[in-house]
Amino acid sequence: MDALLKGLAVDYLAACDFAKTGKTWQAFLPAASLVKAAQRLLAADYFLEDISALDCAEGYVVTYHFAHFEKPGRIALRVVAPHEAPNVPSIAHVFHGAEWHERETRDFHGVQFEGNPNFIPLLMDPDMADCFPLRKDPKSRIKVRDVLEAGQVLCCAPGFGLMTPDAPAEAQAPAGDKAPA
Amino acid sequence: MAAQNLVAQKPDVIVADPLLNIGPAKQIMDLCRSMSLWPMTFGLACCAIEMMAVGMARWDIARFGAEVFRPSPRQSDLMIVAGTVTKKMAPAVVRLYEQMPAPRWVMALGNCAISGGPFKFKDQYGIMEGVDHLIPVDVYVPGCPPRPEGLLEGLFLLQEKIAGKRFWPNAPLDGPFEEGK
Amino acid sequence: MTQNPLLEQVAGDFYTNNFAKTAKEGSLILNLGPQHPSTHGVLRVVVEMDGEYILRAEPVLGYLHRMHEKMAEVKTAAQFIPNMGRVDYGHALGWNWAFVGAVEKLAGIEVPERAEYVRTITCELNRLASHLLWWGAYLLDLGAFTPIMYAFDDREKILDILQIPTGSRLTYSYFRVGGVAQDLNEDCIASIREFIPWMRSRLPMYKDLVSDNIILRKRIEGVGVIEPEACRRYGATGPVIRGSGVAYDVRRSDPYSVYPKLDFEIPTSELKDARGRYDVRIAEFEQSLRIIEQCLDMMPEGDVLVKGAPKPAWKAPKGEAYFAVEGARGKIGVYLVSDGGKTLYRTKLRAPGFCNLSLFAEVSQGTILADAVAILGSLDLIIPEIDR
Ligand code: SF4
Repeated sequence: MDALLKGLAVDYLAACDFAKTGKTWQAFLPAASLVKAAQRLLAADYFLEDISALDCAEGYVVTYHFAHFEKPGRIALRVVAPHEAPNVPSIAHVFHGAEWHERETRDFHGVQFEGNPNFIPLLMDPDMADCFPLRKDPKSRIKVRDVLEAGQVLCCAPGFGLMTPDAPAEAQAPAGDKAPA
Repeated sequence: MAAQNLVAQKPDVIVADPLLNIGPAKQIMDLCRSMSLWPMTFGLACCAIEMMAVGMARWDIARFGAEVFRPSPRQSDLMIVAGTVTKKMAPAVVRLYEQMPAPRWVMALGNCAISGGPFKFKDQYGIMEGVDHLIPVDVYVPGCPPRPEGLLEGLFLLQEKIAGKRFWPNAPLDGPFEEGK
Repeated sequence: MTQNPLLEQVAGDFYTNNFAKTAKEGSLILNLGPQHPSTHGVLRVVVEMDGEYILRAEPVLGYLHRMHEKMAEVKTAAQFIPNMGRVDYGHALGWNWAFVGAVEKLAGIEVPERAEYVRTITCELNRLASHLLWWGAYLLDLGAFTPIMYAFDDREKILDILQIPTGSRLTYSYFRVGGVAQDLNEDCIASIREFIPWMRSRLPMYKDLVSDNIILRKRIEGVGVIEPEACRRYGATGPVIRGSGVAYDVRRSDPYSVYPKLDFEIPTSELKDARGRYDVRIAEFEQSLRIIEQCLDMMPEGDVLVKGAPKPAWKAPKGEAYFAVEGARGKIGVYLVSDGGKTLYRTKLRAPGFCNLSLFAEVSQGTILADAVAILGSLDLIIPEIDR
């Protein structure tokens, strides 16, 4: 996995316990390296299982699950899109099936996928396409680090504080350029 | 194109006097109609599978003259609304109803078609809570899904409504269910 | 914030207008559905045609969008199980399993061994019922009326059996977090044992009557060829990918429950066309029967529900979990995120039909309309699962 993403800007990469959460690797990526990562996964014969968004206090965590036809396991790529401007590049031209998943995510959370070839409401009635049912109200949003499994951290970019286990003060997050757990 | 504007207005539906308006002749006509209802194959969700089952060998709706399932509304006189009616679907339901030639009847099959069923919950935004908001319903068959016996009973009630008389024996109240006790 | 500038110009139907914008001069836009007998419910497909040939097709979804995922945020985990029977009424127990499996993974609950066998048996019976439903309905699409009569006859037998433990015919909510609702009783096991040889005896008849029928062969052979490469790009799974020659089955690749202990094969076909997918499903009948047979022999005595199994008001612990099972249509996945509150924070349902259907636009290009119906049917679509 780290070989797969070598040379790409990765915010956070961790090995996870498949028996506990159902995935073997997870990576937080900056939006800019998402398409490249998807291309590499396609070249390595992975297929896209689904795309889903999670409305957290820090933004929408868009999760891409990938699996392989021959190998067991599951990879989760994650991109965080801020609430004010939830823009994520589309991977629909890499994994063609992503087109629908992205449109579905737009319907539910209002995340914008830039470059999706046919970005119209998929499941929702176009009349009420802007109601975004799965957005949470700001008070009840949770912190990413509270729910997502941290896993065994392999690398964490400096300044990436989303998964830092205990960050009582914001100041600590940038300082924590990661001792592996 | 809000769904509400498309509601078929029952009072406006004018059915011309029948050409032959003599009591006994009308009775014969009604008898014929009730014994040869042509339902429309209009499956929406889970309940549609039970509707299919009713047409097949075990339950055999042909015994009661209603086996001619027609895919076209123009050839049918009974609309079995089998499943959840969403707001996106609502205009199509109304249009189909309007395409059916009079006299026509509607059966709401399953809780979804009656009242929204299990899918009525806080914050639900996408379904019609009952198809009777859209079109006039003659018979309601509750269940999720109703058993085929339920559908058949609904058909008997409809026949009774059309011809003014029940043709089949009532289900024994203390009959098969108590067997063996 | 208007996300979509196209929304402004709705006149008539939004999807057709949008689709027609890029249409070629002189082509015909045809709208199939949402009420169309060959779309298995309320799927709608807008196609652009040149004569009898399809230039472009676009499925329009959402006519049965009931928002299960929102509902999961309103109900507790245990209260959400009945929904699973309604997501995909064809293979309800597969969805049951995916959901309770995900919750169990999240909470670290072990399931008693007997319950695992009971789950496998009922799930495979349900798979048989689902394939029978597909088989009948598919042939109905292709113009053969008789097979569906046979299929439903056999299917009723399965429903009779499943009715004993589950109490319903179609929309089962039989699995519980930590086991199943009740054990299979003597009656039930006896009727399963009776059923297996019966079903086996029917398979040659199906083959003679339908599978080898020249009309069917002409309709589906060479139609809708899907390369494994395309399956990968679209994330297609289940019989669709096995019909393209890739032996991918969650029961083998990410084994769960008792499947590793069982001896069964993953049927595949190298044909890659509608015929290939047809053959795979027909071959799966025999494999499911084998699985059930072995499970009946291997099933130990014991409880079917773990002690202290979650009550309706039970709160799932914090964390996330992804659990996938092999449904009749492919890989069913449930992704849960819980913040430890009364209800789950986020529930994502991965429907196999959703990905399989997204292939359709590409596969149907350049085929004639009648073949498109054959392709659509060969993907085995259940619309509520796709729209959720
Ligand atoms: S009433 Fe129940 S079975 Fe019928 S369509 Fe609604 S959810 Fe499905």
